[in-house]
Amino acid sequence: MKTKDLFKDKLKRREVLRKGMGALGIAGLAGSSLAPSMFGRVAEAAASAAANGKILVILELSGGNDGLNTVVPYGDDAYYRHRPEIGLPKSDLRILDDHFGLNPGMAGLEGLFKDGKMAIVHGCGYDNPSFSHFTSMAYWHTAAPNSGEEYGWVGRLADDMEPSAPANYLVNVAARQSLAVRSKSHVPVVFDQPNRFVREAFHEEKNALERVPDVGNVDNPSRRYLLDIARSANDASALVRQAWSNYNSPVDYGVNSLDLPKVVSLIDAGMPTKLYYVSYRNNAFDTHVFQNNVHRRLLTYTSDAVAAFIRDLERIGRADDVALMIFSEFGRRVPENVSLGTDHGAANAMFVVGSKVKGGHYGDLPSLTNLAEGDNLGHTTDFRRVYQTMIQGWLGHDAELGLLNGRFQPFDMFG
Amino acid sequence: MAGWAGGRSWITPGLLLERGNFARDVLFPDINFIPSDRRNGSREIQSVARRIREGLDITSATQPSSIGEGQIMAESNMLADRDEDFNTRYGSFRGWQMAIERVKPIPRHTARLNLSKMVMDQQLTNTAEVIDYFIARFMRVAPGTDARSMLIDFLSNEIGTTNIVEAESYMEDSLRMTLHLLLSQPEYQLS
Repeated sequence: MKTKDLFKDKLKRREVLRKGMGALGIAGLAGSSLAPSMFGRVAEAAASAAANGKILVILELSGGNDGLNTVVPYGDDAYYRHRPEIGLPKSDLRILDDHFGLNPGMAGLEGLFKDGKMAIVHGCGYDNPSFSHFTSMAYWHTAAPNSGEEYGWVGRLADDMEPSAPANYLVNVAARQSLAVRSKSHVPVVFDQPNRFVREAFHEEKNALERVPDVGNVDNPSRRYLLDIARSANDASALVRQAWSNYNSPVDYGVNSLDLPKVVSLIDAGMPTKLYYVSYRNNAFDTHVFQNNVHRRLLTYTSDAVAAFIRDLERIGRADDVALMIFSEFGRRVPENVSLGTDHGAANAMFVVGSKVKGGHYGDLPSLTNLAEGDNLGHTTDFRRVYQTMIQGWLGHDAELGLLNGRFQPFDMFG
Repeated sequence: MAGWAGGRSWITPGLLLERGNFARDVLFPDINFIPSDRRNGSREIQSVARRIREGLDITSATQPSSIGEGQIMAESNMLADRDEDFNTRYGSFRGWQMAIERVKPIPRHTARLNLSKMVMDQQLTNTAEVIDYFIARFMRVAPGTDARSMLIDFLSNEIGTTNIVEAESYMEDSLRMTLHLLLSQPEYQLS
């Protein structure tokens, strides 16, 4: 059975169960706030996804990508003065225009830029930048620089877009849940390997394991959280596993696919997910020493995976429904260090990729001669302006004021 | 380096299922299990090995196998062919071939469990007492009363009686399934 059918069948079954119970007026369930809504959830989510089919995928490059050696301002002599050893010569670059060239490893993204499907937003950052991976990433995850938020911005966005918290609305492919997707109402589907995202059980045990725990009267918060996790696992695992086993793509994602094929498999299977979150894991971009070879390879892997993702979406006919936003927790210091690498910096370029994206450069260029404190790039665009662009410009959502802890003017980025 | 994220991010829906599956593997060892130190799990390396044994030359045998007809090859895969001092796909195959000759298999034993003896030694008499004993022994935070009733019903139904003394000779598998259900309760993660 194809997953799409599986999904529809599940819908039908749940719909019948819901209606059936309503018709019979089963009193026991009326007392539980959870059970009836459970049956309606998938149906609601499918309906809302159909109303506006737009999907947002976020790719995090962990470790602090060196934006200056990613989108290289070869037209500015100051770049070469700051980086006499690791500065990339114009002859090596993939030239975009008379000022910028992409790192030579980025064949895939060069293609997307030249096809007009990639936006580069320059100088993204925030005031009083933190140079700690952990702290700065938390600021980006929560959209609350130099303050705190209990929930992530993607989680809060899900709460704002769908307060009824339908199942499978938010997916995070990861070994552990990102703060970005932490949500008050939603339980994100978090898994790493789809083929292992399955409850193995004997026939006799199945009914007992599919039992939905009643969270209603649990006051131990850890226990309540675990019951929510269990509910999400019940809701999602069969669909995810089925989607993955049906997925068979001829597209070459290269050496590190960054979990993007898993996203395509779920989109193709008709999951009602609106928000996906994946990452280049393990602080990979933290290039303090001898960075040029390794940085180029990291960019090649990223660029391969992203270009393949777009081709794969075209293959399944869903390219127009998806936009991908790429960010890192900070850029790197403008001058190179003595180990032929770069240290933690501040402002950085962000990327938005998709067939509906109006490609090109966005935001003002940060100055390479008038550096901010600590020899860093001063930011010219608050990173939350790009978040706002994705929320309003792409998803078409009129977000509650305060979702991003400030008011930000979206870029006109989508055709 | 980034540190421990803290909070509750450690437990995910994916991990919850894997942990339950681990409990099942301990209670019911999988006879089809193939240790990863005896068999390479990468389809790419398997495919190179197969093609070399079929008599293909190294260049043909090490072409990436996953790329569809007429598809663009990823830059990183092209680099592996073009820029490296040696062919990394052949290198991986050879590495595995050499490792399999040298690596001593890790000795693996199944858990020696006797849950029937465990409950009889406690002088328990009925299924409710078994569940309460298991909860006390294995759980720090007890599951809800609905889960407790479910487990009692499950065990009683499996052994066909509430009297475990009568069922002593044949209840081992049922006890193991019951324990698997208990260890699959979300609350077990708080133990």
